[in-house]
Parts: sequence; structure tokens; C-alpha cells
Amino acid sequence: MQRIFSRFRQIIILFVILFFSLILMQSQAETGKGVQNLAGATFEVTAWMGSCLASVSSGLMQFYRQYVHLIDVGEENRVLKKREAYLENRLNALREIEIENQRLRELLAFQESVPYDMAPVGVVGKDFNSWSRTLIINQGSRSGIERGMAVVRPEGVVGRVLSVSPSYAQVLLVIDSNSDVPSIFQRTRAEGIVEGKITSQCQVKYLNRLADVQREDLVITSGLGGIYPKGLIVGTVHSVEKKPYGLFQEVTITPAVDFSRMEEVFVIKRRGLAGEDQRLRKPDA
Amino acid sequence: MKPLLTLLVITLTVPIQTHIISLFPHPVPLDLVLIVTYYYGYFHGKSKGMAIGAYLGILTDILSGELPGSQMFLKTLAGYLAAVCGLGVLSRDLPVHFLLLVLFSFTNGLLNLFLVNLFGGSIPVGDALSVMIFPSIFWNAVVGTIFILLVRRGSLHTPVFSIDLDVD
Repeated sequence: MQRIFSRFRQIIILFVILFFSLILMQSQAETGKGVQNLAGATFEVTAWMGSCLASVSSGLMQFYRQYVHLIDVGEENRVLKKREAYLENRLNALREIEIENQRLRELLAFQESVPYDMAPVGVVGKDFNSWSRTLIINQGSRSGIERGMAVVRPEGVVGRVLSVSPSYAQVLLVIDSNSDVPSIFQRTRAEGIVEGKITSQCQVKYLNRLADVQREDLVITSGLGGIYPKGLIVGTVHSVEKKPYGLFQEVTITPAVDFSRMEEVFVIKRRGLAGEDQRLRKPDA
Repeated sequence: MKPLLTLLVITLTVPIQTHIISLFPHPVPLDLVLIVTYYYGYFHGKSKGMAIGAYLGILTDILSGELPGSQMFLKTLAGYLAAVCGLGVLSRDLPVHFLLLVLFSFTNGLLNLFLVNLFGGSIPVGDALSVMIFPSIFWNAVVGTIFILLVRRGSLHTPVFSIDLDVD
């Protein structure tokens, strides 16, 4: 027995790992929990490493831009270029402050205009390279962020919190194929589930083929499911296709949020929900 | 000390993929984990290939929000198969690595699509091929070949069996 094991040791280990992986996948498919318990600690460490790496790389890039190009120029030219670079940097810094100021004003106005208790958070990482579409934000359980909380921007829905560590959290975007957002079409009140595609668009599933849907129709959250409050903008209809068979029609929507340009987002804290959603959650109140 | 340092460097692969590559103006679907797993499998044998593949795979699963276990499955298999390819079946010329990385990326992409759709996902095959699989084949093959060239410079033309493969 031992001889057989030692002879086929590697192939046995391979099958054990593959079998374990399949069990994990099956577990996720059945319970939706998967490896969440492992995620917190690992996520904290690697997110920290990632932030350090990003800082170092941006520092090196800045160093390269500012100094390497100046090596071969004359003394006077170098002084002038330094001065110009300094002034340019100052100007850029002022422009950046102006743009940031404008952006923060808009975010503040948005935060004050909606009836939810929202926490503004910064985006420190994006993962658009693998098969998932996720963000990493710079606040975690220490700041009261919990798994399942909705994440929004003034333009519309961003996604929901997937996993949380003490200082960071991972956000599953609505364009991820694992994301489901119960939604309605604002004009006709037809209901469907918005699901991410692997492209930058989403599709609406389970939409009755008799429902009246047109291009540019606005899609908003329905409030069902308990994650996204009702009335948040999800996107606009990009295309409608009715096949000659089937119960449903195929609708593609363009998300309201530009996911490639996000520096700050808001996390809607559950306990702070106000208005209709709070009543929905606490029927006795 | 050296194994710990190696482990740390290998672990950096995942945050590099999630943080640094995403800073590019146009993010590329580059699978660094596959490249590193392929490298370890091909040049260091089955045990290290499988171990690195399983470790980086589960780390990717935890961090990326993908179907848990899928990357562990794919990368362990990739590490094992890369080791099989490295056991003298094929030469160590760079074009061979390029072609193998094309093959591994394509198979990895198709299997990933199959697993995601098998366990509840619904990614259209056409979208997956055009947006993820074909671009990732190009990037993985090019970057992976350059990576191997840099790491193995000077030892690419050593005889196939002169490296300490951990075969029984």
C-alpha cells in the first residue's frame, strides 16, 4: 500500500487538490459562503502589500518622469527646466486641488440629498484583469463596513461589499457576472434582475417578453432582496432583443457609473437606512 | 530563510496583478499567476508546480471574488501539466514556451468558463472568447516568454535533464 502511495504520490496529491477545489466550488454554488471565512485575514495582508506596491511604483514613475529626462541637458537648461517643472507641478497640484474640491463638493451634495446613512470611502485597488470585476476600498470592519452593504456613487449603483477585513473591503461591481440587482424599468415598472456580463455592460434577466421596454429607458433598483435601496439608478437600456421563442426578452443595459474612473464611492450602512427602506426592514417600527 | 523569501515574492504576484496592472490606462487581461505557475511547473517539477499553483490559485480565489476553488483547480492542474511538459517531452527553446503558454492560456480560459457556467454563472461563450480568452492568450504568451527569458537567461540551452527535477 505504502509502495503504491509513494509511487503515485504526486498524481494522488493532484487529485486530492482538484477534488478539494471542486468541493469548494460546489459549496459556493449551494450555500454562497465559499471561502469567506478565510478571506478576512488574507485580504488584509495582501491588500496592505498591494497598497505599498502601488505607492512604490507610483513613486518610481514620478521619479522617472521628473529626473531621468533631465540628465543630459546643460546647467542653465536644467535650472530652467527645474523651475518650469516646479511651476508646472504647482499648477498641476492646484488644478488637482480644484478638481478634487469640485468632486468632493458634488459627493457632499449627493450625500446630503439622499436619506441614507452613507460613508464616503476611497478606492485603493481595482481588479478588472481576471474574470471578476471588483474594487478594493480603504475602509473595513473597523469603520462599520459589513458584507452585503450597497456601494453607490452620485451617478448610480456601483455594487455591494463582498468581503471585509479590519481596514479594507472588497466590492463586487454590478458588471460582475456574479452580481444580481433586482431592478425595475422606471417608465413601465417592469421587473427584472440585472446581472453583469463579462463586458462593461449588464443584461436584464427574467424580463417578461410582453413588457414594454425601449432604448434609453432608465433602470432603477426595485428595493427587493434587501441589499440595494429602492430607486437607485442602475443604468439605461442599450439594446432590446426579442427572439421568436422563449418566455423572456433579452435586454442589455449600459451602467450609469463609469467604473474605470472611480476614486471615491459611498457605502450605504444598513442601520442608517431611512424612509421607505427602513420601514421595509422594520415593519413593527 | 530562502523558502520564506521565495514564498513572499511569489505571494506578491497576486497584489501586483490586482493593484499594479490595474493602474495601466487600459488594463490588460494578463494572468501573472498562470505564468508563475507555468514557470515553476516547467522548471522545478510536479511537486513545486502543483504547490505553487494551488497556493496562488486559492489566494486568487479568496481575493478576486471569483468562484472559490476554480482558480485553485485550474492553477494546480496547470502546474502539474507544465511539469509534465518540462520532463523532457519538449525542448526548452523560447518559441516552445510561447506556444505552450498560448495553449495553457487557451485551455485555462476555456476551463474557467466551463467551471463558472457549471456552478451557476451564465457568461456567454462569445463574450468570454472576445473579451477575456483571446486577449489573455496574447498577453500571457508575450509577457510569459519575456519573463522566462529574463529569469532563465543563460540556462535556456542546458540539457533537459541537467536541472534538479523532483521526479521520483
